[in-house]
Amino acid sequence: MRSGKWLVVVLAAGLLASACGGGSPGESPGGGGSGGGIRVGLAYDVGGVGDKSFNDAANRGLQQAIDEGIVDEDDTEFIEANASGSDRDDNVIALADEGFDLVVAVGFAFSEGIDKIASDYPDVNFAVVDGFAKEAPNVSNLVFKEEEGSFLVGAAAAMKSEAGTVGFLGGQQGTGLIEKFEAGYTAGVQEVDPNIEVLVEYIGDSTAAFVDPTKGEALSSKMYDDGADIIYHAAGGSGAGLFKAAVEKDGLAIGVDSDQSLTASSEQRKLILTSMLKRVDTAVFEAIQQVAEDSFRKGFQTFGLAEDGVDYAVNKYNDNPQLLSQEIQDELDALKQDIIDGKIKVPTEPAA
Amino acid sequence: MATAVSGAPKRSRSSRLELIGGQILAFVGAALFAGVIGGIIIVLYGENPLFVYATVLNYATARPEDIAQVAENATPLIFSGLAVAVAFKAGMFNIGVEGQYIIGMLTAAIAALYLDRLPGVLLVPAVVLSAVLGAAAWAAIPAILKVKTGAHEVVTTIMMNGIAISLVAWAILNPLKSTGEQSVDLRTNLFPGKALMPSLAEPLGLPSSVHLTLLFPIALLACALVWFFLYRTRLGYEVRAVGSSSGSAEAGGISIGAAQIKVFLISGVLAGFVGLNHLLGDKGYLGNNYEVGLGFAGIAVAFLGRNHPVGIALSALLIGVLIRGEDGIALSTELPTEVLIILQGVLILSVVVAYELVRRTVARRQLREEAVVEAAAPAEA
Repeated sequence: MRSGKWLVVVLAAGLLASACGGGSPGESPGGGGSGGGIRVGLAYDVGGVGDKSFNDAANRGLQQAIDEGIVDEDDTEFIEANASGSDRDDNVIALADEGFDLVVAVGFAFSEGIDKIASDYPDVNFAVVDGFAKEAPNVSNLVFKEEEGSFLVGAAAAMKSEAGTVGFLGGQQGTGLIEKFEAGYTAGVQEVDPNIEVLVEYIGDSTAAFVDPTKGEALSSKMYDDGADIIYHAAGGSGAGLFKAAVEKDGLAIGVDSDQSLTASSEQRKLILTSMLKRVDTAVFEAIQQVAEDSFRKGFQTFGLAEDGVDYAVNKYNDNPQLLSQEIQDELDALKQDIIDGKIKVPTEPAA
Repeated sequence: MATAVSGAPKRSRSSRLELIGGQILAFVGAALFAGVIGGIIIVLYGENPLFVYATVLNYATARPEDIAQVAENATPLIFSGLAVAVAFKAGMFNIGVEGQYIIGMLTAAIAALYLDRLPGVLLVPAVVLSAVLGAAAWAAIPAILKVKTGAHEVVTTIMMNGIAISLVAWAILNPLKSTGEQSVDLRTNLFPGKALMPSLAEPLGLPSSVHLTLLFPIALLACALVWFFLYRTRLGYEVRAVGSSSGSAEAGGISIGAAQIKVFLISGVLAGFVGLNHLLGDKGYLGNNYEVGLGFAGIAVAFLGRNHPVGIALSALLIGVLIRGEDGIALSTELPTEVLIILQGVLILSVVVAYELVRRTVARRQLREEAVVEAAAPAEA
C-alpha cells in the first residue's frame, strides 16, 4: 500500500506538471518602459516560439522592429498560449493590463476574444494575425492575399509539369479560406497553360482536416496515381502526408505558409519545388511600425504581393535547374510584377 | 487496565492536536524547502529569487482584481480537490475527475443550448444539474466496474478520461457544431446569456475580464458540506471506515461495495462543478479550447490539503496564486514560467514527505508512550 501511495504521489506531481504545462516561457526583460518609445506585447498561439511556423514568423517581425530601432527590446513582452489554447483571452488581457501600446495576437483563434476585450482597453491597439475580429477603433485584422501567392506557385507548377496534370490538396473545405488558395493556384496554372488539368482534393469540412496527415498522404497518392506530377497543399499539418507521398511516388510537392524545404527531411526537400510564403513577419512588423508612427489602421489590412505579404520561396535547396531554374524564377517575377501592376487579377473563389 | 481505558481518549486527543500542529509545521517547512530549491533554479537562470517571488505575490495580491483572479483560479481546483479527496477517503483514487468534468461540460452545454426556453432562474440550475448528472454518470461506470468486477478504478478512470475527450471532440464537430458562418474555430453556438453563471465581478466593481462568479462561494460551501458529510453523517463515517481499514469496516457490518459506489457518485457530482466556471463564467460556449488538466490538478490539491476540506480550499488558493504568478513571471522576468510548475512539483513532493515524517514521528512517540504506560500499569496494580 505504501509504495503504491508513493507511486501516486509521483504520478500526481507529473500530472500536475503536464496539467499546468504548455505554459509560457516568456522572454521579457524586466523593468517598465524606457524613454518615450512604444511598448509592444505579443500573444502567441499554441506552440509558441520555436514552432517553425506562425509564431516564429511573428517573432521575426518583432525582431525586425527591434533591429530597426522602432521598438526597444526592453519594451517588448510575450506570452504563449497553453496547450489547449484555453488561456488565449487571459494572455491578451494580461498584456493589455500592462498598458502596452500594441498587443499582437498571433492567430485567427484570438478574434472572438478580442471582440470582447478591446472595448475595455481603448488605449491599447490590438492586431490579430489572420483575424476576423469585429470592427473597432483599436482593432486591426492582418490578413493575406493567399490567392496571389498561390497564383505564383501554380504558375511554377505549370512551367515544371511534364505530365500535363497537377494537383491541389486542401485542408478544410467550406469556409472560403482554403478555396482562396485553390482559386489562385488554378488561375496561376491556367495563366501558363490552359490545357493543364488541375486535380482538387479536400481532406474534410472541419478543422480536424488540418491535422490529418494520414488522409493527406492517401489523397496525395491518389492524385499522383491519377497522373499529377506536382501537388500543392494548403492543409496545415496534413501537408506532411503530401511530402511522404511525394517521396513514395517520386512526385514534386509545393509547401505552404513557411518555407517548408527548410524543415523537411533531406529526401523530401529534393522534391519540394517551392513553398507559398505567408509573410506573417511583414504583417507584424507593419503593425508595429504603424503604432510607432501613430498611424494604426483599424479594420482589415491585407497583405498581398505588393506589400510583400505573400511570395514564393527560393532557398539553397530549390535554387537549381532540377527544381526552380533561373528561367522559371524570372518568369514568376514577371508575373508577380503583372499582379502588382494590376495587369492580372487573381480570383479569390474557384471557378464554378 | 482501568487507567489505560480512561487514559486512551485523552492521549488520542492530544496526539491529534500534535499531529495537526506537526502537519502545519511540516507544510511550512516543506514550503520553505521548495522555495529554496526553486530559488536555486532561479539563480541558475540568472535571476534574483526574492524578486521573482515578490513578483508572483505582487501579481496575485496587488489589486482587488488580482485577488479575484486568484479566487477564480482556485474555484475549479477546490471542486476537483474535493472530488479526489472524498474518493480517497474511501480508499479509492479517482483519477477520472478529468474525464468526469469534461463530460459535465458537455452535458451542461447541451442543457444550455437546448433548454433555452426556461427563464434564467431555472436555466442556470438546470445547466448545473445537467453537468452534475453527466459527471456522476461518468463516474458511476468505473465505480460499478470496480465493485462488480474488481476492475481497478485507476485503470478504468484513465480509460474513461480518453473516451470523454474524444466524445467532446466528436460532439463539437458534429451534433453541437456551431451554425455560425464565419467561425473557423471548432465550438458550439454561444449559450444564451441567461444560461451563464452570475458574475461577482460587476457587483464587486471589478473589470469584466475577471471571471469570478457565484461558483466561488459555492465552492467554499461545498467544502463545508463535504466536511459535514465526512465527519457528521453515517455514510461519511462508513466511507472513512472503509478507507482506513476495509476489513474492520466489513466486520463492523458496513457494505464496502455500496459505500464505494455512493462515494464515487459524490465524487462525480463534485467533479461536475469543475468545468463550470470556465464554461459558464468565462467562455459561454464549449469549444475545442476548453481548459484541460483541472482534474489532475485536483489530485495535487487534495494531496497538498491532506484530503481535508479546509486544507483543500487553502491549497487551491495557493495554486491559484502560483497560476496568477505565471503572468507576472512571463511579463516581468526572463524566466520560463515552467519554473513555477517545477516549484509546484517540488512543493507537493516535499509536503508529502514532510507529512509522512511527522506522522511517523508522532506514531513512534505514541507507541513509546503506550509502552511506558503499559510498563507502568503492572506496577500500579
